Amino acid sequence: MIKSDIIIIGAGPCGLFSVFEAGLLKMRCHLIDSLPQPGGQCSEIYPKKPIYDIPGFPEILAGDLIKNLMKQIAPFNPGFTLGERVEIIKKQSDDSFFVVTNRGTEHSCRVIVIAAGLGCFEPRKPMVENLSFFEDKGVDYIIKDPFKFKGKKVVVSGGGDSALDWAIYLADGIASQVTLVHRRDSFRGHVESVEKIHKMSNSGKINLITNAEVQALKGADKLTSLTIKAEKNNFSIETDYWVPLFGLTPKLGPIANWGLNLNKNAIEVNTYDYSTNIEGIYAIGDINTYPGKLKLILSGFHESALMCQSAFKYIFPNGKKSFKYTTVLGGIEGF
Amino acid sequence: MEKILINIIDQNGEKHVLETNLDSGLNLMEVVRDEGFQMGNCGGMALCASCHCYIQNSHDINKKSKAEEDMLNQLHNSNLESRLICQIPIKKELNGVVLILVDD
Ligand SMILES: Cc1cc2nc3c(=O)[nH]c(=O)nc-3n(C[C@H](O)[C@H](O)[C@H](O)COP(=O)(O)OP(=O)(O)OC[C@H]3O[C@@H](n4cnc5c(N)ncnc54)[C@H](O)[C@@H]3O)c2cc1C
Ligand code: FES
Repeated sequence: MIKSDIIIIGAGPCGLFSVFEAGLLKMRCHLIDSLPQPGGQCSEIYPKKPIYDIPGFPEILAGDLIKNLMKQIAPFNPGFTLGERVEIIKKQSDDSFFVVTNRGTEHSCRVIVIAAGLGCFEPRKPMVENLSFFEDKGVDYIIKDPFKFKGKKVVVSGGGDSALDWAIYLADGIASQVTLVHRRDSFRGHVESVEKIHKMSNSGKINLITNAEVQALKGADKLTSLTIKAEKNNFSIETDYWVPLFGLTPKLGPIANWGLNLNKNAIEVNTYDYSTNIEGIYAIGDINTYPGKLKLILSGFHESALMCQSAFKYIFPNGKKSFKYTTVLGGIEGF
Repeated sequence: MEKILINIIDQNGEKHVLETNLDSGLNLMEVVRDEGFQMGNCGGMALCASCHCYIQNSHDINKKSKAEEDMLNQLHNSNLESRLICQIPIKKELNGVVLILVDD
């Protein structure tokens, strides 16, 4: 059981910044995100796009903003559970919360902060018969630990950056055989990655199959082969794993079952402190709604600061904390 | 003010008809989203595919950019009728267009 003062559901920019604001008040945070990396939309959808409305940064790449936030919160040593979706939230008799992820990881905390953005990033699943049967039995939609593919035969499907990057990475001394299957013959990934894929295909390091799709999965109790539908013929290929990487899309998911007041897939909050209808649960960033809400990173940062003040009073009803600027004590070490 | 009609068939097969001004300067995704349909996660940059629709009747609409084409190629459920409707500006020729919203 992982114990913390605050569990933050969602490691997007607003969830990350909450660690800082909570840290100034000496509250320890643990972040949980269904993505294998922190950064939410900034990392998943537009890491290489510049943002122009972060105060103090005339221009900053979304990916760099996340790197900076990670650096800013590092001194507070937050815990991370990545690649797992929060499934269950239960209030205990002592008013603490019990939180369980889809992988069964158990957490307990005093306060929950939902910074879940547009919802849980879930993989787009291809329409192939028996797909769900083979999930975790040879079919993986996100790669959390690439070394699980050590010495194995892997088929990757997709034409975007993550399909290209993982195919290149796994073919470089990890998997025993890597096949990349794509529906077209042009790719969406970065030019350098596309060039590398073609080079590796020419040198026989990657088996590249274009204008083709995986049509069927076979295996008794785990995946052993795939049927590929190509332009001219169908053929079968032996494999230990199939990793379809068709991008991720946010879905509200389990949040709908937690008894929170929702309005069009967003959580209603009190703008005094961004608290929800359940005492001890707050919602900040893109996931919340209130009159005048703007889905901007800077709004989420502001919400996070006010929320932490209220969370402190909730966790430590007798605790005294006078408001201080970070400059006054010569940096965060003084807090 | 000149208006056009847009037909929508949602993920449950239900039909909706929207009326929109021609001089709004909006794209199709913005018009559909403003009616309460969930889409537009990337704000209309062909980066998220939340606005993926099938357009069956052949309307005189703009051609796909490379970015749109590449994003559509990455989806497992795209076909020749697929468009990212954030890439289609509102114009007269769209009057009567039928958009079939795609389930992700
Ligand atoms: C293309 C694009 C351009 C943008 N440009 C700008 C801009 O210029 N300026 C600006 O201010 N904003 C911009 N935005 C919006 C900005 O990115 C969002 O406002 C911001 O990411 C919201 O942050 P967040 O922390 O609330 O949520 P998100 O970044 O959405 O992160 C939420 C995280 O929560 C996780 N999650 C949800 N539910 C669960 C669960 N049950 N269990 C585990 N994890 C869960 C998700 O997987 C996700 O990683 C842009 C967005 C896009 C897509
Ligand atoms: S709104 Fe993101 S692709 Fe159209």
